[in-house]
Amino acid sequence: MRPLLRIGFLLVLFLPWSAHAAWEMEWGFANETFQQSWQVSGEPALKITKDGMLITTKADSILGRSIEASHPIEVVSIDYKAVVPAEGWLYWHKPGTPAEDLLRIPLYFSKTEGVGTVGINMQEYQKRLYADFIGIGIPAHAEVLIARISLQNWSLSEKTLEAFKSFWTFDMRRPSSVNFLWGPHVVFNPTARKLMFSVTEPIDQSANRYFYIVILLATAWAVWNVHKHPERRAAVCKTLFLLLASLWVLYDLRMGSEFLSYVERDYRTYWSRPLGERTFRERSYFNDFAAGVTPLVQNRDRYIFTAPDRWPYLGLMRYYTFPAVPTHPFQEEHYVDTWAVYKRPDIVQNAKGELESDGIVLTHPGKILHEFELGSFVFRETRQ
Amino acid sequence: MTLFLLPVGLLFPTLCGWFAIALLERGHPVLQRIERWTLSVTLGITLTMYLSFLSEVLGLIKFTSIGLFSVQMFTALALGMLWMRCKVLWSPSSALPALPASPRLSQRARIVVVLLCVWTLIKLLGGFAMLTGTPAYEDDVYNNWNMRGKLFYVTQEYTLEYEAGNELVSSGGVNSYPITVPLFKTWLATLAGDWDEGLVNSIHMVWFLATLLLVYWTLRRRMRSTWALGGTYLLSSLPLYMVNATTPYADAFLSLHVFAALSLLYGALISEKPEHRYSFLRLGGLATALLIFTKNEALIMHLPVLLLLLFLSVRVLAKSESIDRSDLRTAARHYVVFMGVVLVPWVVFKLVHNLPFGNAKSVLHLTLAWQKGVATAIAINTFFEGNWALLFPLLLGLLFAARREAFRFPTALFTGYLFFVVLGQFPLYFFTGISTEAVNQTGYARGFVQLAPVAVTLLTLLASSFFTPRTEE
Repeated sequence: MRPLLRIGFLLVLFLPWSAHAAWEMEWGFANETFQQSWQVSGEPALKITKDGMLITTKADSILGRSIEASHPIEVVSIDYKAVVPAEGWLYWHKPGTPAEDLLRIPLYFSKTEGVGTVGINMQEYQKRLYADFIGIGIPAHAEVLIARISLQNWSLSEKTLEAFKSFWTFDMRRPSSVNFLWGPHVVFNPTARKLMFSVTEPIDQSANRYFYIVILLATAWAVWNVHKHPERRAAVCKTLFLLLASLWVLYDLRMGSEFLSYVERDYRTYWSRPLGERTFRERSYFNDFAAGVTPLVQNRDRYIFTAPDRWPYLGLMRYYTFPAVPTHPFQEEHYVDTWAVYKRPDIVQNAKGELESDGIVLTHPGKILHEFELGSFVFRETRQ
Repeated sequence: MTLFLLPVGLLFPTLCGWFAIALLERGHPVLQRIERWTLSVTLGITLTMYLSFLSEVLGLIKFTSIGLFSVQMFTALALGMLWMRCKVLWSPSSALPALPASPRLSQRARIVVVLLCVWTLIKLLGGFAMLTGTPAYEDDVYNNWNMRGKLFYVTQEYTLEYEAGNELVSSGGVNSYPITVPLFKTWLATLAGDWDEGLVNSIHMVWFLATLLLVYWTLRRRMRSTWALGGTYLLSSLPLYMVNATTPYADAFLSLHVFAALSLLYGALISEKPEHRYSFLRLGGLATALLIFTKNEALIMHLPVLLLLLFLSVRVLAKSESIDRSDLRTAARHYVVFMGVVLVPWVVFKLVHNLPFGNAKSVLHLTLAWQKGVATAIAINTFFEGNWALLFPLLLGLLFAARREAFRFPTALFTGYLFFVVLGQFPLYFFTGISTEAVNQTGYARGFVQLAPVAVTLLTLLASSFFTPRTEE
């Protein structure tokens, strides 16, 4: 056993921890820098600015360039600005395939305030991606400012560290957590770690696979040993049992810590904060809004409720204010005089005291009983 | 803090449960003290909520504090007086069944046990904090369980329809569920005089702890305390079970009732003395009957499997000459009478009000067609997510490695239960529109939450049988 340990230790020492240093290829377009060798198709208007290259398109366009296919690309990262969101693509060409065979995946430029970054984990699409051309597709009638484009991969030691970090990275408590939990994931770069738990693609990242490998190997070892040395059955079973129990406890530590991280987050954002400042998970201050509305509508059978989305707010409002029932703004049979408005800054009170939205008058004159913030308030008509 | 009202609210239901259990044991107690109180809380709540439902439907009470309390008080008085009367008639109590010896642990093992206990306690406290300290969050909390409790609290009657907002009326669907969970919340709210979110949710922690304790005592009947603690730890460390048990949903609550019914039948199978066996069978009859009044799945999914296993168990007992014909008839009569008392009124009520029998979806009008994506979704949910830790690979491995133990009575009771219920559900997922529950990962895993205590008990039984050196057996 001891020689085996020594050999193992030496092997670990000689692992090429720094042989593959992180590799990065980067092109910056800020400070009016013009990068050579970039080509465009689709005739977009290009303008070099202090912040980067502004691309304005009339038709679908591609900004791309040839690169040396010397390193696998794990992550493509783009710093950009977009006033209006745009759905573009990331293109690449695999060496040895016909020149016109460009591969592409969707790339979403969401609206940014200042410079935003979109990172694409290419390992989701191909484990080792070599490309001799890389390009960004911009849809027609879009305007995107590109500040920086970089291609990256990581060394073995960095990947190992990332794998460890990702295993201990926790998901947040969501409404769906009562139905399923993603569980521990293992990924090998920071971009993939940032994107964990946000896409429905769990198998490739599931840490369960590594547990299963260990279980299979240990079981195979135990079966082989018992077969070879039946007299050692008790000792082998004990070792196998201890290993399986340790794996279970490790899994429990991981998932139990995630469970406690839900509590910690609730404490940090909800329990420890004063009313008016506290938020509850992804629901912002809605629960306090609903609790504030409740006494104001208790003497009404119905009240009008409007929010940016029907789910989950309508059901929650009904639960909070029952027996007063929320209903929609277009009433024919009932006269409903009270409005609970949540996060609808388009609904405002005009000079006559009416509620209006985009110039359309919604109510008779009335008064705001309580305002939580701009766009969130309780309003009651004064007409009798 | 209104949480102190929880023990107040539990007092009379627990007393009712205690008297009912004592009456059924008939001077031949089989439950350890903590186990007895655990089952008293569990069965007492469901029993009193069922009687409250009957009383309200018959027009005897309203769902007010006085109405609900009067049912509990009358039941406790009736059962208590009956128990005192019977106690005199019964022969002197026999001793409790002996538990397997628990050798002293090494210091290292004791440290590990203490650390795991502390860790589990921290998680339980965290769960309790979230359960009682956060607003309604998951859909079925504010659309079903708590909403219906509040509905009964406000209307003071068994209301089946209510305005759901936006001019919609909620009827059918979740309204077809038995009302134990929402009605107990109503009871707590009537005690507080207000709908207090923390108080009405706190009962779920009681059900969670009851499940852990029942798993422990069920295992303890067969093995040393370390193994039994280990099995209990397994259940507490199933991530999705922990989340469900500390969420105001009813699947963990149902799992408690399923496990109670099954573990009592298991107790009958492993009893050495006939009088203990009959005590277990009578208790099992009550637990099986009350299971009907928990969730719709209990009636259509769990009850048929339980009855099938009861039939098989009795055959095994009859073959081994551990039970004679007259006692067999008595045991069967208990099951039939208890089940009839709950089943008939409840089914009649459903039929009269045209309430569906499925899990909020009717199972009577399903069309059959192959559903794509179900197998993948089930595989992902079962093996590649964090829901069940390593339960499934280890259970499958041990079912193979310890197959003799797994498929032989009494352990086969748990194996059979898992197989019948899990395999019985698969056709629904693979061939009907219920497939969305699996593909969208909504109801599928929660269906397994109902089986989790059974699964970990089976895993522990098999692991103990496989890994314990044979000389110790």
